[in-house]
Amino acid sequence: MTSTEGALRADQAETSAPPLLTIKRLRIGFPSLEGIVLAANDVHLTVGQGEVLGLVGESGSGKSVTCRAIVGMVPHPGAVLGGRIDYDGRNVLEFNRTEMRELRAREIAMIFQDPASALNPVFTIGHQISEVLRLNAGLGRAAARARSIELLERVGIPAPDRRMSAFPHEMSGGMRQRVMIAMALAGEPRLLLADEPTTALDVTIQDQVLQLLEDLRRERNMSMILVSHDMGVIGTAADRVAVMYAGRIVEVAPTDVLFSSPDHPYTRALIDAMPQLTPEDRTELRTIPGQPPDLLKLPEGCPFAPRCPLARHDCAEVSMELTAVSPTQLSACPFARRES
Amino acid sequence: MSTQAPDGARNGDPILVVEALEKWFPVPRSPIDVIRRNPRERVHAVDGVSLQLLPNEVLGIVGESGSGKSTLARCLVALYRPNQGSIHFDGVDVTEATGQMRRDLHGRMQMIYQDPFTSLNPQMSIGAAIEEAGKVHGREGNDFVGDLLEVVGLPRSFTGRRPRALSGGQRQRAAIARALAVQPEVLIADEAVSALDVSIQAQILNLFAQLSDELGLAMIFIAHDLAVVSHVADRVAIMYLGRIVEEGPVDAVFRTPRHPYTRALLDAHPDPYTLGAADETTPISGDIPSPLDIPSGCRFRTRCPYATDVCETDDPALAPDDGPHRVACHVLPFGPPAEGWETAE
Ligand SMILES: Nc1ncnc2c1ncn2[C@@H]1O[C@H](COP(=O)(O)OP(=O)(O)OP(=O)(O)O)[C@@H](O)[C@H]1O
Ligand SMILES: Nc1ncnc2c1ncn2[C@@H]1O[C@H](COP(=O)(O)OP(=O)(O)OP(=O)(O)O)[C@@H](O)[C@H]1O
Ligand code: SF4
Ligand code: SF4
Ligand SMILES: [Mg+2]
Ligand SMILES: [Mg+2]
Repeated sequence: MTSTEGALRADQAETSAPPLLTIKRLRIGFPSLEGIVLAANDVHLTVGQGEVLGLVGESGSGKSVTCRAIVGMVPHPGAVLGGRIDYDGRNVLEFNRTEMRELRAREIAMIFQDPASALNPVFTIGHQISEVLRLNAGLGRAAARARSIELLERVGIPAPDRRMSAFPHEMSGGMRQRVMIAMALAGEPRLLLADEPTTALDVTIQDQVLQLLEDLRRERNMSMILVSHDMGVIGTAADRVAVMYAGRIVEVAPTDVLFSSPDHPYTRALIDAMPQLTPEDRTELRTIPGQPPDLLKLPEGCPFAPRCPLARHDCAEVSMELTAVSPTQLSACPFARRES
Repeated sequence: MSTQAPDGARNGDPILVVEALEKWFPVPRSPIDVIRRNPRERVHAVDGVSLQLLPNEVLGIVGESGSGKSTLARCLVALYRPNQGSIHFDGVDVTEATGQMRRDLHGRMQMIYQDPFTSLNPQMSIGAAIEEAGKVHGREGNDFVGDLLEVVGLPRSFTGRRPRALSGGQRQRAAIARALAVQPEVLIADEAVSALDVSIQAQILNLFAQLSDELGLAMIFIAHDLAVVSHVADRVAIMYLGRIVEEGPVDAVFRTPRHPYTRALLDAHPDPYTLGAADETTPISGDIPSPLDIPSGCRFRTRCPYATDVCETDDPALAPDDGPHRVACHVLPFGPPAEGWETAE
């Protein structure tokens, strides 16, 4: 237990800003025929005021469900099994329905990875954004419409006034994504949970959206968790980065440190697999050998062991606690730093 | 993988030929529009696209969000009927295909949709979906399904899962597995790897490369990640507002881009290792035009730093026989392409 407390203190120490959100020992499970799938397993995260925390990692490692847990939206049949999520000093896991609705309306907005979670196919996008503004910001009909157009313009939708009457299916993938961003920003949140917000955006629009988010952070001290597989996006926008693998945070570090001297073998392998824009030779891309983990059949100790080039027999006994590599960098692998 | 590997004779002929394709959508009119007698408007999603795909070839398509990439893809698999132009798949006119011909077509050409929910039936387990797709070739059973899941990096135990019980990237891989189960000759992948972490993405891209090299799978690979396209594609087409503005071998286009829009795209490509490095790029500015009213002349002129008078009046063409690296631009501020370039006029 003492080692856990030590690790937590270290985790808090390395955000310079006062924390707005602190997640401790979060566990999220999905019941299945073969047992409980632990999609988040002792997750620790801190987000400072005005900070952008990047969240990267294996597909299926629990990034989306972790974000959803913060706003009380873990998808059925999943449930939070333990831990706490403190937002602005209060544990949101203890919130009742009304408090949670208030939290989502006034404090925390989420951009969902999957448009079906956010956009209703039977209403026009103008109607949907205006609704958010009328409910959350108390604007009247005309004001809400004007503000909606303004928001659509800011996220780079051309001729926004004429797009207000479009239905979600009449927009391109990237336009739908920008509509969701506009909706999330409509309530002027203090914390934005952005789950893969730019997967369908071309680089010039992506630039514009990232710039907008950066502006909001500066103007309003907005904090953000930015989930992305795009290392370029993470490199551009995040202050610190947390890396997830098989439901666990395996490394946390300032962005430049993570790219220049990653510690955890999974992080290293992930960075090695990044595709280059103008590759010297177009041979095979580097992958991580072995199969991605099956959350129902994880090995004892370190879940990365079956694929880790540095694996050794005592990896089955590692506690997976994050420990300090340096004052700002934490890693769950006790062995990698000694090897290098 | 494919049972109908292309024979040598066909190798040189394109398997897919698209000519002067146009697809527009009417904009719904509000009562106010009707009262004010506002003119009917159209979204020109695809506005004159011609392209060819050889068997064995991977054609990357990148471009502005909303430039018509998905609409083009949906026309190719006969989900949308184009308003103008033609699409021939192995000599057959796709736009006219009905009944059995259409079903044949779907056995030979598969699409992975940008939104994986479109590819996967939410009521069906992913194992059942893969098995059903494989039936076309009489391939079924647990081994077939399990092997395919493994190839795309999903545990075999996922067979019984519904799409809803998968993460975004897992769903995307299930959609890829389903499309591959059909053993198509042409695969149209619309942002098919955008939700995958770089390692699994690499695994899938290697798989595509292997299928293309060994079994002659041809692909149209739509993606916004330039680095990904640069790895998988042989040729690349850059789209802007419903048109291809530059096209050529991927190395030529990415190393020596000729169109100002392509240049802007490459300049905006974020790279975590060069951030903060001297920023001598000129980001494009100006109004992003809408496909509701496409600018006269060159459609990029409202944002182009090199625009001249002629750009306002004349629509630059991507002429058909200009050699492999072709550009639709009057000014060519970065010089003509290295080889095979003749003036378009
Ligand atoms: N209903 C369910 N039953 C069992 N497992 C589930 C269910 N829903 C989700 N999961 C599992 O929970 C894990 C975490 O999913 P999550 O969506 O958080 O992943 P992610 O990190 O966001 O991945 P991606 O990058 O692919 O979006 C996944 O491995 C997924 O298979
Ligand atoms: N069914 C439809 N009805 C009306 N308009 C449509 C329809 N489908 C597409 N559009 C419009 O056509 C244009 C092109 O859309 P498309 O989805 O082809 O773009 P895209 O290049 O795939 O973009 P993205 O990269 O964002 O996915 C957009 O302006 C879109 O709003
Ligand atoms: S604990 Fe062992 S298996 Fe896990 S990352 Fe470290 S060296 Fe590799
Ligand atoms: S034709 Fe003119 S406006 Fe168009 S890209 Fe070339 S220079 Fe720019
Ligand atoms: Mg996710
Ligand atoms: Mg699209």
